[in-house]
Formats: sequence, C-alpha cells, structure tokens
Amino acid sequence: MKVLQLGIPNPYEWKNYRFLVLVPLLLMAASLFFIPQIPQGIDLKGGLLFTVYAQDDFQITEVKQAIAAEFGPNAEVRAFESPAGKGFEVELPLDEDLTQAEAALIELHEFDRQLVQAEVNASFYNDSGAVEVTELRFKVLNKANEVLGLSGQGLYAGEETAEAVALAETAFSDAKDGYRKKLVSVVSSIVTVKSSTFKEIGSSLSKFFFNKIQEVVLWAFIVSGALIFLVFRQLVPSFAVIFGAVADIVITMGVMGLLGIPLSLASVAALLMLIGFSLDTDVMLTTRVIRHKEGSPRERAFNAMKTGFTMNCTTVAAFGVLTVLASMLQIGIYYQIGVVAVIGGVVDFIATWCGNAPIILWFAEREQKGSS
Amino acid sequence: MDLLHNRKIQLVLLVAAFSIFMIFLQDFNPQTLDLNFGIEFIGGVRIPISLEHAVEPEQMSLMVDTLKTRINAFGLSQAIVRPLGNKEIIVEIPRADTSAIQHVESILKKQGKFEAVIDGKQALNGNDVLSNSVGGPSGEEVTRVSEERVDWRLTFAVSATGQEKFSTVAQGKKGYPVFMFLDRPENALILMDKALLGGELNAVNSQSLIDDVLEKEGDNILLYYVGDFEAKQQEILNSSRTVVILSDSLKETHPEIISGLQTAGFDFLRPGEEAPGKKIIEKTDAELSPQFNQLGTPNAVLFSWGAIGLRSAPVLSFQPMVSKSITQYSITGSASGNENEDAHAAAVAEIRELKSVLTGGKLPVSTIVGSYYNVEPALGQNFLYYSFVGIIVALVCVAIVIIIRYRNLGLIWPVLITNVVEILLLLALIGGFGTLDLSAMAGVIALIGTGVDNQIVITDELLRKKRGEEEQERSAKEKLARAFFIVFTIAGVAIASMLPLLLSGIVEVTGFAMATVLGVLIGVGITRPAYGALVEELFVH
Repeated sequence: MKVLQLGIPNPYEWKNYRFLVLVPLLLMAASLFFIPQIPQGIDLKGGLLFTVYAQDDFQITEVKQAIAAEFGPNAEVRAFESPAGKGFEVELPLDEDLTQAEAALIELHEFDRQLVQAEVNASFYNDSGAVEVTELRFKVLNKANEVLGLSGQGLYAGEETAEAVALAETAFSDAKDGYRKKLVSVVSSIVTVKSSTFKEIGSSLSKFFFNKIQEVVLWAFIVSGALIFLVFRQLVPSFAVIFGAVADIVITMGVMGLLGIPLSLASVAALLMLIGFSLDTDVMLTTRVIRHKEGSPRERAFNAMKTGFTMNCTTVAAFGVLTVLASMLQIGIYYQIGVVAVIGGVVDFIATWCGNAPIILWFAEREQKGSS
Repeated sequence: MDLLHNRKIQLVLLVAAFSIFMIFLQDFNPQTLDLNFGIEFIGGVRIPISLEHAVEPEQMSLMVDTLKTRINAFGLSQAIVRPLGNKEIIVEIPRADTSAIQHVESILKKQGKFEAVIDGKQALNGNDVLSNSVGGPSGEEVTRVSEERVDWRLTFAVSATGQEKFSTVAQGKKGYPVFMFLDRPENALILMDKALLGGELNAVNSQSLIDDVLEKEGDNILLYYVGDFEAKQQEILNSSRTVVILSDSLKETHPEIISGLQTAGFDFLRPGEEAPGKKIIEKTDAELSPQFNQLGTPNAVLFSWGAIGLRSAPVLSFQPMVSKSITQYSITGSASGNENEDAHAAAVAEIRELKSVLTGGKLPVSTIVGSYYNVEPALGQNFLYYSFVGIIVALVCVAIVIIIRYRNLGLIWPVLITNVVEILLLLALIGGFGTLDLSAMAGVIALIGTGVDNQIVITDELLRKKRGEEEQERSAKEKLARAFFIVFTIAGVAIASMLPLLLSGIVEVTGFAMATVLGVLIGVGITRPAYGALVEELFVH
C-alpha cells in the first residue's frame, strides 16, 4: 500500500538537532511580549454586545457616528457580511455610573439591615441606642441618594428610609433597563433590524467568570500534569511532554495577542482543549521513541512526525471549518474556539517537533548509549 | 464476512441504530429532529441573577425552588432555573423575547399580601412588619426538648404604626388566635364539599371555628356547601362577590354549577389573557380542607386553610400594651416526629413557612438582574441549519486529508464510518439526555477533527513495514495493543484537562466540555476498538 511520502529529509539526522529547541523557546519569549496585549472579551470584563442583522443596506459609518455620539469613544462597531445577511456588532462597555450604583445599592441594603436591627434594639432596650439609629438613618438616606444620583433619573430620597430604599432599587433597575433600551433604539433609528441577539454581562457575573476561569485553568494543569507523570514515570519524558503542551499554549496566546483575539469563556475553553490535543502528538512521539524498539530513535522520531503531521492536518481542517462557519454566521463561540484551535494546531506542530522531539531524542539516545 | 460476528463491530452497529432512533424517531416521526436544543438554536432568553452575597447551599436551593414556582405561575412554564456557584442563579426561558426580563424582575420583587386578623379585625399588614427583622441570627431558635419533641421560636418586629394598630385591636383578646394570612382573597366566597370537613361530628364541632376564620371587618369570606348550591343559587349570585373559590374537580362532578356561575358572568383565569371581572379560582381538595388542631376540645384551633391563604394561627398569649413604638414579638411552637431528624426538620420547616408569610414571600437575599442574553428564534434556526452544514463539510475535509495521506480509497470508508457513528452517538446522547446548545455543537464539530487522530495513530502503527529487521516482527494484535496504550493515555489527559471546566457550572461552555469528554469516552470505548478490528481484518493480509 502506497502512502504519501513526505519528500523532506529527516531533520533529526542533523548532528545538532538539539538546536531545534531554540525555535519554540524564541517563539515563547516573543509571545510573552504579546500576551499582555490580549483584549478581554465581555465575558470577563463585562459589557453589552448587540448583534444586528439589517433588513436593508446601511452605512456603517452612520452607525459608528451615532453610537459614538450616544455612548462615547469606548464603543466598538464592527460590520459583517454572511449568507444569513448583512449586519454589524456593537460592543459597549458597562456604564461606569451604573456599575458604581450597583455596588452602592448592595451597601445600601446592608445599611438598611443594620438600621432596622438598631431600631429594634433601641425600642427594646429603651436606652441610648437612639444615637446609633439616627446615624444609621443618615447613612441610609445618603447612600440611597448616591444610588439615585448615579442612576441618573433625577430623583431624590425623602425622609422615610423604607421608601428611600425602594426608590433606589426601582431607579437602579430602570436605569439599567434604560441603558439597554437606549442602545436598541439608537440602532433601530438608523437601520431596520431584521433579527438580532443581545448579550449583557454585568459586573458581578463577569467577576465571577474571571475568578472561576482562573481556578479551572489551574486545576486543569495540575490534573493533566499529574496524569502525565503517572503514565511515563520518568522525569525527562514527562517534562518533555508537558513542555510541548505549555509551549503550545503560550505561543498560541502570543498569537492571540498579536491578532487581537479576545480572551473569553470560549477561547479559554479552547486553550484548555489544546492541553489535550497538543498532548496527542507529544504522547505519540514520546511513546514511539522511548517504548518502541525498531530502528534508531531518530528514525522513530521522523516516522512519528509524519503521523503527527496528518493528525494536525485533520484537526486544523475541522476547526478551520468551524472558524469559517463562525465568521459566516457571526457566532462568537464558534469563532473563538475555532480560531484558537487552528492557531493551536499549527503551533503544536512546531512545539512538538522542534521542542518535545529534540528533548526526548536526546534522552533516548543517552539511554541507548548507557545500555550498550 | 465474519466481521459482522465481531463483538466490537456489533456494538458499533447497535450504537448507530440507537443514535438514529434518538435523533429522528423518538416521536416516530422521521421528519422531525427529536433532540433538546438550547436557547441559541430555538430562540429564547437567559437571565443570570446575581445575589448580593453568597448563600449556603440550602438557602440557594430554597430560592431556586421559590423562583421556579413563581415563574411557572406566571405562565413561563418551560423555564429552567438553576444555581451557579453560591452567588448566581441562571434563569433560561426558551422562545421568550426581551419582555421576559421585565417579567423576571417583577417576579423577583414580588411580595404577597400579609395580614394578621384577630377576632374579625385586621391587626397587622405587610407594611407594618419590618422585614429585615424577621428571624435572623438571634431571631430564630430550635431547641430539642425530648426524643420526639422540638420547640422553636421566631422573632420579628413591627413598626410604630403597626404596633399602635396591633395593640389596639388586641385589647382584651388574650387567648384569641391571631390568624396569619398570605394573599387572603378579597371579596370572595368559597364553594366547598361538606365532606371535606370529615364527617358529621367534625362538621358540628368546626362550625364556629370556621366562622371565626372567615370573619373580617368589611370583608367576610362567605362559605357555601356544594350540596346546597341549587337551593342557595340566587343568594350566591346576589351576594356581589367577585371571586369564587372552588374545587378543581367540580368541572367533572358538578358541571352544572360551573355553567351556572359562568352564566352569571364568572369565568376562569387564563394565563396570558386579561383577568375577567368576576373570577373563578380552582384549588385542590387538599387546599380546600381546613386543618384543625385538637378538634372537639376547648383548645381546638383552625390553623391552616390553603384555599383562603391562612398559613398559621398562633395564640395571643399576653395582653399587649397600647403604644406607638417599634416592638418585638415572638411566635413559638413545637414540632414532633418519630425520629430525631423528623422533629427537627418539621420545626425548621415551620419557621421557614412563617418567615415567608411575615415577609410576604420576599426572597431572603436581594438580587440584581445585571446580565442578559437573548437570541431570536429565526436567527437560532439559521444557526442550527448552518451548524449541521458545518458538520458535513468538516467530515468531507477530514476525509480529503485522509485520502491525500494514505492514497487509498479503501481506507477512507472505515475512517469515515467511524467518524460518522461517533458524531451521531454524541448528538444523540447530548441532545437526548442533555441540551444541545451552541458550545456543545462546537464540541461536536471539534470532535470530527480530533476523533480521527486516534484512527490515524492506529493505522500508521498497523501499516509500518519493518525495514529488513525480521526479529522484530510483530503480529497485528501486538501493534494494536501498543497503539491503544497511546490512545488511552491521550484520552485520559483530554478528559483531565476538560473536567474542571465541565464541573465549573458555567453554562456558556459546559456544553463544549461535555461534548469533548463524551466524545473521548465514546472513542475509547466504542469506535476505536471497532476501527481497530475493522482495519486489522482488512489489512493484516
């Protein structure tokens, strides 16, 4: 049976093959420069994303101007075309006043709780609790006014604390609603909306996601790393495999920074998946070189590279389809997972065959020399 | 071909048949897809609700249950409510539109009407109770008295105006029950079956107790028995009541009563429609049965009646002083049960019930609706259609890569078939037992590329010709075994790296994690062994 012969010479026959390791190392160093430039998606920093499919043609510059006029320079507007129609995306950061109002509202509820407790105690014990009560009443009314001010509805709290709290709550939720509605109405005044999706991530939720994701990434590394050690039981092969995966992720993140691909729940999920699938090729290489015995280690490494290349090709093909689908349909999740995986697939090839392979070859040849 | 006798191949065929059944034939209509799709595909709204502070798991499940009940009552019956961590609750309503967020906000703020009635006069209402003072760390207590009995106490405070009202109404009423209602119906009458009172003797003993409960200055609830309806029909219809409360079984047992009422202008409440001026409200027989304690003795008391919102009736055990300042009261009681846990659980449940009544059903922790995700159904359909197109295109692309590499069409079929079976099974499992949402679909498309990797490893292992080293000849079986070691390790690591994400509860991506993990398991357990058997058979010659 004829198999496609890769017409390239075995790179590992080169005497100084170990210098191949420099390639991933240099790339990793370069990536460290780009990684801080990775933008944060709204999942992790909060914000609003309004994706609009327009009924008729529109001028994207008109949309950008209108949005900038209402919402300031931090708003982003991106046009797109797809088989499903033409449209654009508007991404707004969370309104700062409203985010502060949310925090103030939480404090207000806490003050109110303390006030009621103090009032109860004061009347029960019938003593100087009255001073504390007055202080707390003052705090509550002040905080309520803060919330009302930030909510921008032009309302003021009266003298009654219970009413003040209720007023603050309503004003806040009305203001939030109003911000959403303003976005929709500004857009609708310029284009006829055929269909749309609307996504808003508040500050509390985005903080939660941010913290949770860090936890998840840490655990993923710990558990995968432990499993690798358990399987290979030798320090150098395990290290080589893990190095391959880490290099893959670091360099991919560097490319993300370079291309401006945002860090979001979906792209982090794809990065985690890279651990698994970059290990595919690393484990295959390491197993073949260390455990199999036919031919020389260099030959085994080269054959493994051929297998690995095919594996990477299929993965990149499937994820490539996902990415194309995503840009056609404007589906954020598909795009982020697809593009990270495609980059990861290409980088994996470099990381495994320039990074992992020289290390494991060196180890295998040293073992071979030692036993002969 | 003795391939068909191979267990592994048989398993694959079985699995393929099962998947096709799950996907197309669950409702025996091959034209519909019978999978559960997420809101990104069928349209809908996802509203994450943030709690102001973290809560204990028990309190969290309580809040989730309360929300579920209220959302269902609103008519949004397909809603899914689930907790996320200890500070967020996610509400998902398929096929809803942007107005759903207003509904959810009003559900969150909803408070029932609380009132306390002593001897026919209202003594307290919801505004009089300081809701932040109900219970709390020093305001609730459960003490074990004996093996079977547990005492409990709940404290709450009333405002100055509330105290004035309460103490005035309660003058001279020491020993009277304080009837506590949540959403007592206004301007109403009850039509119930006398049999629900449980026998003639009970009916006699309970009459005065029932009369007492129904009495309220300016708004008595009238009571009529089903058996007397014919005789008293005119009286009932002339009574100028606008709400009739009756059993949900009356439609079948006494349809003439229902039609009689409808002719007089009464009608049922239908969700989504405007409420009629004169309402018929259906309750279950359990709700229509008044609950008594120590019936037939001088200490008898009617303490619970679901149909009219009577939730508790503690006895006023002292004479309050008329005053106008904030005052604290406590309600005490005891619960009994057969075992340690029974009595304790019963006591905790009673405290919880009373807290809910006194605060008008207000949620114990304040909520903020700050986030929101909406997809329109038409758009969702588009996403679904093109996603399936994407699956097919990905399968084709992968097939092309295989063809280029191995230059042998005969090898394509096993790889393609294995891939297709994997995808079908994954779709069937996730869509049949879980929800197929956008991230899960991404995982399915991803699997097309990664699943085939292991087939490549196996094929290469089997294909490699030794270059003139006979002593290293291995049988196909041994080669397969070596390939499987690699395959299992890779599977383990793939699952290990996805597991924390899967367990995180973040619905936006858990579908992807689930699809990846399931895909790996399906591959290792079902399709790879079968592929190995197939290829071994075809190429060992």
